[in-house]
Amino acid sequence: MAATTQTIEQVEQATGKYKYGFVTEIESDKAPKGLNEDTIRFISAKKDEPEWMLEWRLKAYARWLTMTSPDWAKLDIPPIDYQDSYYYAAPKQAEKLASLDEVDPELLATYEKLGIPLNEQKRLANVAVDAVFDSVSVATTFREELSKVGVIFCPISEAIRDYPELVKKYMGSVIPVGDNYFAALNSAVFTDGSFVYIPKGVRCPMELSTYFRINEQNTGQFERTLIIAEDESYVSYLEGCTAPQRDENQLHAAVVELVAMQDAEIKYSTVQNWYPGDENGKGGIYNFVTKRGVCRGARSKISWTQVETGSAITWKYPSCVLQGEESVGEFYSVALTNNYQQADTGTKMIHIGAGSRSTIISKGISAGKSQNCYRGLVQMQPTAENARNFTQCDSLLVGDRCGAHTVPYIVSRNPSAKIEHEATTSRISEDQLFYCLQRGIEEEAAVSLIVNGFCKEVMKELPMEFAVEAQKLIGISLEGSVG
Amino acid sequence: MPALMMQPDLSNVVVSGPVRTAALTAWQQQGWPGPRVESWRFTKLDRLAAREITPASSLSTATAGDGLAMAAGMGAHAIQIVNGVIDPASLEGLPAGVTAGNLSDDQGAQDAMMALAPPNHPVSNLSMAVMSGGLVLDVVGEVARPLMLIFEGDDASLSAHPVVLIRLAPAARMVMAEWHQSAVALSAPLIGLDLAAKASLDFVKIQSEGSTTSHLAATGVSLAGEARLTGFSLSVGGEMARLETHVTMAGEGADCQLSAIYLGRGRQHHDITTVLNHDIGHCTSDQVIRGVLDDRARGVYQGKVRVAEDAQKTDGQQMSRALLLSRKAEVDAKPELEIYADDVVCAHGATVGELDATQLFYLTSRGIPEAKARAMLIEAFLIDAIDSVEIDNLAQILRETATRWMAQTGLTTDGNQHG
Repeated sequence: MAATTQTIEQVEQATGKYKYGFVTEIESDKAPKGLNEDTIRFISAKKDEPEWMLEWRLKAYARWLTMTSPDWAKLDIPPIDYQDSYYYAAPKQAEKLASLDEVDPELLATYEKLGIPLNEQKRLANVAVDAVFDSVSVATTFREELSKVGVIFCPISEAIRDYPELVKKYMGSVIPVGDNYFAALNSAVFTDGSFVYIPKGVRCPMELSTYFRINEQNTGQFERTLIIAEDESYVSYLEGCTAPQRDENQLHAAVVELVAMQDAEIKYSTVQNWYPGDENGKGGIYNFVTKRGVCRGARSKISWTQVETGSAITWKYPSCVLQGEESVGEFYSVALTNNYQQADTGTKMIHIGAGSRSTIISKGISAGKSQNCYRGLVQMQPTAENARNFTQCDSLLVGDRCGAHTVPYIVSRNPSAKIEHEATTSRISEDQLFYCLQRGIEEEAAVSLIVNGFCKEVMKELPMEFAVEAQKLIGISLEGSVG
Repeated sequence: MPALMMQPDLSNVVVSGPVRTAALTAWQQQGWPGPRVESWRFTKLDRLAAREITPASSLSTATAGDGLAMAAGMGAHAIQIVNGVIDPASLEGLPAGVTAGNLSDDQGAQDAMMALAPPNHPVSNLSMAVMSGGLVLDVVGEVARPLMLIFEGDDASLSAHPVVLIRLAPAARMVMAEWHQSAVALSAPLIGLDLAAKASLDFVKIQSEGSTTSHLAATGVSLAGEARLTGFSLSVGGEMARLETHVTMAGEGADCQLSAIYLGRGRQHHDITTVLNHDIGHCTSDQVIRGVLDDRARGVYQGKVRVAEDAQKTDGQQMSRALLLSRKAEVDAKPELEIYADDVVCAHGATVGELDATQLFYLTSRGIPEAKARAMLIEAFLIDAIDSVEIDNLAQILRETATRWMAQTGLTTDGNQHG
């Protein structure tokens, strides 16, 4: 139980300050403030994009203008002024970099503080990182090794130039430009993100990772990720996010699309730790994200695992469209809110293929004055013969001024499909707490211990190094919630 | 912005009194909710809204369906409400402890009714505004004889808007039933149940409307300290039905059991919607919902349990199960927990599927023909829920109605050919 011990230490050490709340002083290259067609042309030109991409963006923008911000979530979202933000910010640099040594040392130091294994020496960690610093991927490691097996792992802006056919074929095929308000906005102004292509029969030799980070003040981060796994391939992708401490609210509206062909498997893990705002609810990231995967082929599998501890407001529903026969969708989630955080998160499992199966395990923890809502849809289409779903949503309340909500939607159009849903809400067991206290464990450490136990089912789905980080985060995020 | 769905057309209607005028204004502003209104996403009203209907305002001859026989069978006093209009003759000889009043000219009672009614609900507003008939029943002491409200009507161009407020004085006890069997275009009863401290009400509602009737019911309940409501609804008739009940726990120690069964076939649409507001601590609520759907029928269950800040020691339970008997049937469920207090035990469960193949195999392997085995399993699925009703004659009318539905659907546990 080394990780648990570490967690306790971490909680004891934590000073209540956001660990990643530093600002990197790098001159940056920004688009003019505001959003209009010119902003989009500016972004497209900066990215040196082909004409078709610009058209696609403009189409999305035109669509976005006709849409309204969704209001069905249990969230209190202050009005967002889309004209009061920068939509493009890139660290200024003279030319393309040949190796990591040329990367701005200050930038590398930032990642060092974040603990990302970006350095060449960290090759042993066997993690390839496509680091997105604000809007541009500054460096990508392990590209060569991956290319040996035919895996493409690069910034999406590069993919648009180098693999236009793949991008044209798949981008927007899972999440159309007009899917929802935030997806349309992203489609218009996305600046960067990752592109992953795993060829047929290839098991990706390492876990792929992107570390997102919002640095510049008043910039929205609109990254876009596209992962395609061809027949019989496998990939595990890790996404982690942090943002510096700021008083204003920043918008993050990402889009992630996954495509799994026959017998392919995509495992997508997220640790989301954007700045949550301070203890008075000032500042923090608005995290409005659209993530969806489609299991196109028979026996394909998509698994979402998320640990959400950050952001002032989270609006996020990673989903699976289970098209292939006997395809499998999984959603494992821990969402922790403290202080004035608000989270409305969950998943959608759309069963189309016969024999498709899905599992949803959601653990919500509310502390302080936060509101935490699970919202999920399980839908069995008439074609989903013998499909199965099992859903378990548990909520834990830490303190008497927070809220825990569960809103599952169940739609069944096939009698042979089976849906089972369970949800419970309770507070931390006094017996468990007493047990820890009388063994000399301090209250805060005890709460962290119990909460980590409550989340265990989800944590075990995370890759090792992520699981350790996630456990620490839960300890840190609960800071100040007891007593 | 789509045009508001407004039928009946009330643009030239003037109503009396501030409460009804306010309700009319609210209706005029909103009309029927469209599909984008979250709480109506599973139940579309466009077909109803396209029908030209006139609110009923005068009594016609009572049609006297099964309701009267059911009332006689359970020894109940029957109050007949035809086209939403109260038949004054049936208010004579009420059981001791029950007194009747007229709601249509009682501002205080109308105010109380709107305080109980599901807020911002089209039926709350529409039926209060156009009120075909209004009745206040005040109940004191232990009422020995059950009461049955029979809702009838046979004019398919009319909409019926009965408004009934039932107030139980402290420690009053009553058993009552609502029997809905009309052939009007729209039956839109607005019912209020106000239980004072330690009052107790056992309540059954049978929705057995005609096959072209839309039944949209709004029921509001308030439970004071240690009051107890045991309610059971059975929705079996009508073309489209929504039974919406809002309960507020207003005093500590209140207890609410709210169960429902919906049985659908053909192209029927059944919607059971409940909202349980635990505004105060130390209360319990329990909901058991069962649905069986055949042919192209659709069933909806939306159940919300809301626990307010400081409503500690709340126990809120919900369990919904649905059986699909046909490939074209559909079930939608949305059990919802909204919790703002930490020392609570709240849970919900939901399952959807067909009959359990292993149970069916067990029965057929013992020589029971498959059709009968299926009927037995469906019967058991329903009876299990009905058995929670403690008042015998209420359980009896539920059982009879369910059995009759099964027989009409060709599910019979009789005709035992093989032993």
